[in-house]
Amino acid sequence: MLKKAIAMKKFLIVLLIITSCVPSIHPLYHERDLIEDQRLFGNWRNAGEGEFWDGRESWKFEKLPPKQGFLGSKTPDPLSGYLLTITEDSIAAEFVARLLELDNQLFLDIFPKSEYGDIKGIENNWLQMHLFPVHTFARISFENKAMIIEPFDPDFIIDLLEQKKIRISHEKTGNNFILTASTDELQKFVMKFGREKEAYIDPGLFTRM
Amino acid sequence: MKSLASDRNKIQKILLHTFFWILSFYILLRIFVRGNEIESIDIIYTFLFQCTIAPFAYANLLWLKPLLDSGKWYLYGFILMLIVSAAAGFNYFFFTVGVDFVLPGYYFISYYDWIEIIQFVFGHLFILTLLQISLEWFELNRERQRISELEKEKINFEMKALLGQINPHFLFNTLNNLYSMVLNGSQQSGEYILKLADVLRYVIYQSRQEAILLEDEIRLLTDYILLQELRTDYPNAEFNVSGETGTWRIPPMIFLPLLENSFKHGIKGEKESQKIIINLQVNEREIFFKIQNEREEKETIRDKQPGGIGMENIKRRLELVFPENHEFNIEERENLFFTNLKIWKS
Repeated sequence: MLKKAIAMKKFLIVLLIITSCVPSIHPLYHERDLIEDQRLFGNWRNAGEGEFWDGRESWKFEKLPPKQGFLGSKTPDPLSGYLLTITEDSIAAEFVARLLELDNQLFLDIFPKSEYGDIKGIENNWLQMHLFPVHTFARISFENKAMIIEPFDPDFIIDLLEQKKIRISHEKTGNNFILTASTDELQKFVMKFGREKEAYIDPGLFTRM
Repeated sequence: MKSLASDRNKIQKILLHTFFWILSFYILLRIFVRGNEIESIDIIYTFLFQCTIAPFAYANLLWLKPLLDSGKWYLYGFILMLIVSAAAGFNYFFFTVGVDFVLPGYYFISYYDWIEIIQFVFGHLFILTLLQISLEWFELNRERQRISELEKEKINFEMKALLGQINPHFLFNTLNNLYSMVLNGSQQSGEYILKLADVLRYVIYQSRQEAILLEDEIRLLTDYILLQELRTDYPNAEFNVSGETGTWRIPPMIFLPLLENSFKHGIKGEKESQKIIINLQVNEREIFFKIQNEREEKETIRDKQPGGIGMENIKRRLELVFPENHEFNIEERENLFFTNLKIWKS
């Protein structure tokens, strides 16, 4: 019973992170765009500045573990990336983070690891069938040994979509939006409007633990 | 008339081009629409997309198509590729940079890659060029039809004018003869007047028809010869007809001017020895009309009477009614004239 309650809490954390951005079906990267930056590795704690951040989060970047193959075989992930563990109030969730550079800015593409399979507590097959993994994006930068994470502001994009002032492929179900634009289209938007301050929520300052 | 036709062409052209751009707008909108419903931003995007193509499409029509018309295919192809590339480049540049100045507050990007934009541009240029070629083809056909009608009208007018020249000429000649006979108290003047009435009936009524039976023309020639013989009191013409004449139809008054000319130049005074021999041979395909007559010394075939029909008029009329299917020549041997006319079915 306690196990189930913990699993549901982890699931809600994932949902919270996802819904804090406008999720996308397609990633922001092509294989050729991916880069590695050694500065990311390690544990980072949020300083708790700004409206969005409360200082309870810690982000841990590690090397991606090999993929589980057929009959227990393990193969390294062919793409550059990081295993990102986000912990909030001792509850951890694992993601695959990919780093890319567009218009001289670094961006993170965050995707649930193993499409929810490794998220403990969500073992109910019926529940898993109702989930669809999505990508979220955040701008990332380093300043004086600190890491700054700036997720895209969902309100900014949703407002533009509702005012019919942005033309980007998307779907709307109820009050939720999901981007269906191709990677090329997403990159073009990021390259063209990725420097607008209004496009991001408050920057989250992370320091090494 | 010309100005009205020109205005009508312009209006048709404008309507057709408007229709093309509306159709293009509709098709592009269906391609560009992002969701299930058409949003206002899709309409704006489609309109702007068309605006980036249109100047190049019309540059192609105005400046490049003349190269195509003059057969400079390679040069046309080369410059066309440049124009298509320039249009694609402009479209890309506009949606990457320019649109932010035209519509600040809107978030557009260039959604298509080079190949796709080139396809859109080329499609527009190709269809517009085809449209222009079809329009010009229709205009050309209409112009040809107009010219053909004008030609027909001109021919009709000339025919009427020529017939107008022939008829009074014949009438005055005959009346002169009648006048002479009455003055001389000829017993045959009554018969002469009846034949003249037959000839006039023919000239007035049948000569207005487009075509008459060859037999009617033969009857006219026979009456005319009889009138001429009555005038001179002795037979001076021999008229031979051979072959089947039944199915032939010809324009009226084709042979009479030639015969009239022969009598005018061939029978002078009261010489009994002067003879005119007329042969008309007919078969299914051809008509041979030959006249042989004597001429006086130093006489020329040129008609000297002012307002007379003249040989030039005869030739002109033959060219009008049998443009490709007649041969006409006059031979002169010693003191004889041979007038030969051959007509065949085309």
